[in-house]
Amino acid sequence: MSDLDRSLHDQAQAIASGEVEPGALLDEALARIEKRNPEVNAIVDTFPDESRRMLAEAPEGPLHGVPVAIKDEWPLPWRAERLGAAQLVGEARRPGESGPYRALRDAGAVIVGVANMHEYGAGSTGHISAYGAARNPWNTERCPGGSSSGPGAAVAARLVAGAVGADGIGSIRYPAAYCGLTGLKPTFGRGAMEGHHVPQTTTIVSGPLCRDAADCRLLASALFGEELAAGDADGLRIATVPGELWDDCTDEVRDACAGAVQDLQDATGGSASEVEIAACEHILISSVLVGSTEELADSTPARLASLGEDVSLIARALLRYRLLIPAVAMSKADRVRTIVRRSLAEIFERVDVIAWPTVAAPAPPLDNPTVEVPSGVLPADYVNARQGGIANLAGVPGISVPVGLSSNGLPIALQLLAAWGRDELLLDAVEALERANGRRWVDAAPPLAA
Amino acid sequence: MTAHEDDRAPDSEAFIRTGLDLLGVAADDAEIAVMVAADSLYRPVIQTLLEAELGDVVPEPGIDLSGPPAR
Repeated sequence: MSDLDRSLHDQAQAIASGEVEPGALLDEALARIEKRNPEVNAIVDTFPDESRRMLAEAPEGPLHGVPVAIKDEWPLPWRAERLGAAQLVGEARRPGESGPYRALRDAGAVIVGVANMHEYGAGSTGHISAYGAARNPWNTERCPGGSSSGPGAAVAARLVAGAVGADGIGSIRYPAAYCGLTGLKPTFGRGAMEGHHVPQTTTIVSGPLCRDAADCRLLASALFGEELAAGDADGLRIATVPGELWDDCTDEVRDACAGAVQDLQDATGGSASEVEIAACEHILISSVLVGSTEELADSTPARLASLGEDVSLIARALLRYRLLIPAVAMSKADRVRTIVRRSLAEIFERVDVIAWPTVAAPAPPLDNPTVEVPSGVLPADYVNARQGGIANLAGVPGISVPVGLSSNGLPIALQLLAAWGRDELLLDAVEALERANGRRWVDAAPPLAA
Repeated sequence: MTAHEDDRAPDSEAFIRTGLDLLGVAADDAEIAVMVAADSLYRPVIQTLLEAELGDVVPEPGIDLSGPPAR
């Protein structure tokens, strides 16, 4: 087994103990990217000289010498972000020290590549990008999830053991789910965000995509600038939400997730109950409206007209369509946000986590990103936003954890949400679940990386 | 697509073409077709939201998404 196949924390420990020489690990990572990346198109840019400079200057931090990737959503001192797009709508971006870059650098990590993303971050599938679609390592004809498609595909393909993504309407959790990874959407404001192209965001937060909870804890600690202490999840009070969040999923997804909830309850000696979230019927559209309009101020008729055919047809169309959203709908979406936040605050006085499937169906085909669920054949983006948007609308943390494989060999994932600031509890709960199922799913490797 | 959504399709195209024209934003037929498809999916839920009675919901003053709402 290559040292690159070890977990993020194993790599860090091996370097710290002197067992692994970080320069050799970096060379190995670059070589693996060159060899394996063409199959998944996860990494869109490498810069060996800059990576070696980071290593040479790396402090003795918790990630000293460990190769990681970062989504094309953040500027680096030597490279401006491109957002997976051929043209940007707003002002041109410039290289710089973004918050996630500083966090990684200060932890001693080595950025070995920039990871692909869904064009403009505007999709949950990853099937559209100016770099070409990233591909799912479990089946390269399938979507890797988005918008953090490259971080998901890169970690699943074992190009790196950890990657930084961003989550605005589920964009860390969907690729984690599709690629069989653990992905943490932190409490709003907890992950480093300086230098992001939407500085006024109320939904987006940076977070880790890794194989397991321990790795997410390590990478999130770097991004948060504080150590996330491990605890236990004994007596965990778990709630499910009856209705379409569970019912409008494929049978395999529903069954695997229900089994995982039972495992989690058994493992923690916890309890299970059902809760109802107020205004549930408006959450999908409210999260989409709030999350997809935060950068509307960058739009002008002239800028939209200047978008050429190197920008996807879908993006050109939807960027225009956003101009037609009624102002009253935005105002009502804000009211729904208030209702949902108050409802969750009340619920989290009675329970510790709320659970439902991260995505309603496994990764759809790249050439037809729709899913068949009980309510019909629908665009994956539409169904995914229903499952993932609430965490961004409310600001609460969420985590996606693999809990099974479908009959056609694609990952299935459970999502847990917790109260604001209880990111650590989510990691504790997922670690309990990993122990309960013998790490069967977090240690499963896609055929491409086996 | 439900019958309800199907009934909206012609309205969608007129709404989109007229709206963009009034805003001075050009779009070709392929872009309009994508917008019509998106509208058929999202307009019903937007319409439901528009019809919701939310006037008595007291907004959060100085909303802080990093924590729970103030009591």
